[in-house]
Amino acid sequence: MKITAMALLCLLALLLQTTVFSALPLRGSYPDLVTVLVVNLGILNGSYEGAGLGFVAGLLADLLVGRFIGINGVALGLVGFISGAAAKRLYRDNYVVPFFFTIVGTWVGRVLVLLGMALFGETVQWNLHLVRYIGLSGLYSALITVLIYRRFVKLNERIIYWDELVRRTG
Amino acid sequence: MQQLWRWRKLWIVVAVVLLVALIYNTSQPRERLSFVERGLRDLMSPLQFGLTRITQAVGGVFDALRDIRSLRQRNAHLESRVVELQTEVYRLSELQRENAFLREALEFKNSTTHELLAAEVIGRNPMDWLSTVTINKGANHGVKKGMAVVAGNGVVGIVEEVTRFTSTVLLAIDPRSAIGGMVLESGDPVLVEGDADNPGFFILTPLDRDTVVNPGDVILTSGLSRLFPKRVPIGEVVGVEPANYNLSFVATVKPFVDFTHLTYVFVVLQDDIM
Repeated sequence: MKITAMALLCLLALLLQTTVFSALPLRGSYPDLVTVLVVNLGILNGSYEGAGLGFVAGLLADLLVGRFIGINGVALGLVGFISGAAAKRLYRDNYVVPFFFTIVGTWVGRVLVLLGMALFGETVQWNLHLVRYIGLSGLYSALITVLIYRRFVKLNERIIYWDELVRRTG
Repeated sequence: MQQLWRWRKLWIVVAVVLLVALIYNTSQPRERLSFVERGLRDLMSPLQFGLTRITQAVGGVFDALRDIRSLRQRNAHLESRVVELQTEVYRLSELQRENAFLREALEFKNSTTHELLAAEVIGRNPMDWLSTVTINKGANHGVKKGMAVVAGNGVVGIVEEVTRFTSTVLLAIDPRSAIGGMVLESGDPVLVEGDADNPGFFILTPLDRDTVVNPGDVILTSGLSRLFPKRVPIGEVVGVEPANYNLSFVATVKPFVDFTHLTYVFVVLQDDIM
């Protein structure tokens, strides 16, 4: 139940990112909704779940729009894991934690992907990517996080509730 | 399960190796996508298509809303431009009219020996449009009561009142006006007065029993009164009727000057007018 819901959420984020938000650029950069999803679920549900979801979401992104299959999976898996681990001792109910985690998560994820691409022989224009796209993209994603965080928390609680219910009733 | 857990380090190593192999494998140029990629992309394409269409439609609405503001600004700008250009058109047509008058005036001035003072019509008698006009030249410019006023194409009238800066001209077509004229064709003397029954026209009465006037004849000033220069055109005979009393006939004369659109005139300056 939970896995299905999360997979659907990943697909929805990917769909929105490749359609709706591709029409809403902010100074040439686009938000990373998949990272928003992974970071926030990592914060709320812990590092293992964050890592698992990150890996699956990244892999889906690779399969749907990527070229190096697995590279986003690894990067987002790490981002989800770090988010869960770092948020363990933090107060998660205000907006500051998800806001900064999304910024840093987006930056880390993108840099990891670029590093991986460079490692596998792809030429990467670091200046352009880092300054223009990644920097603003992190901020844009964080703004979206602030807008949806509360609803996201409630949605997560509902999924856990239904998951528990289904598990108990068998 | 416990056994799996025991060997987890090994599994992690295997997974990492497999993943690296996968990334490496897909980083190389591929002839075609894997069936998983193709399947997922094909599966998602209708959803992406639909969402993109919706996004475009919504974006189109927002674009239109955004455009409204700039279109309004542009419209206001263009409207003000229209007013500017319309004003320019009026100014140019006014200049064209003035130019035509000045050309006529130049010809007229060259053809007469009298000293002429150019003046502009600045007012009309609101009670009787075809009775008097006010011009922008007065005593300070040398205008005196009784001076003749002409336009490039004919007789206009006589100065009736003079102030320092303006003069009132009694138009020749007013019934109070009388000008000594002559028939161009025969040279016979006639009297030309404003026609009370037919506003805008002259009525002509012969001063000689033998005078013959036919429609189409041109009437000029005779110069006998000394007010008007000699041979200034007055009008053209348009009708001849038998008259009462002793006189043989009366004729209707259509003026050459368009009195309804009078804008520029000349005052004939003469020293012998008191």
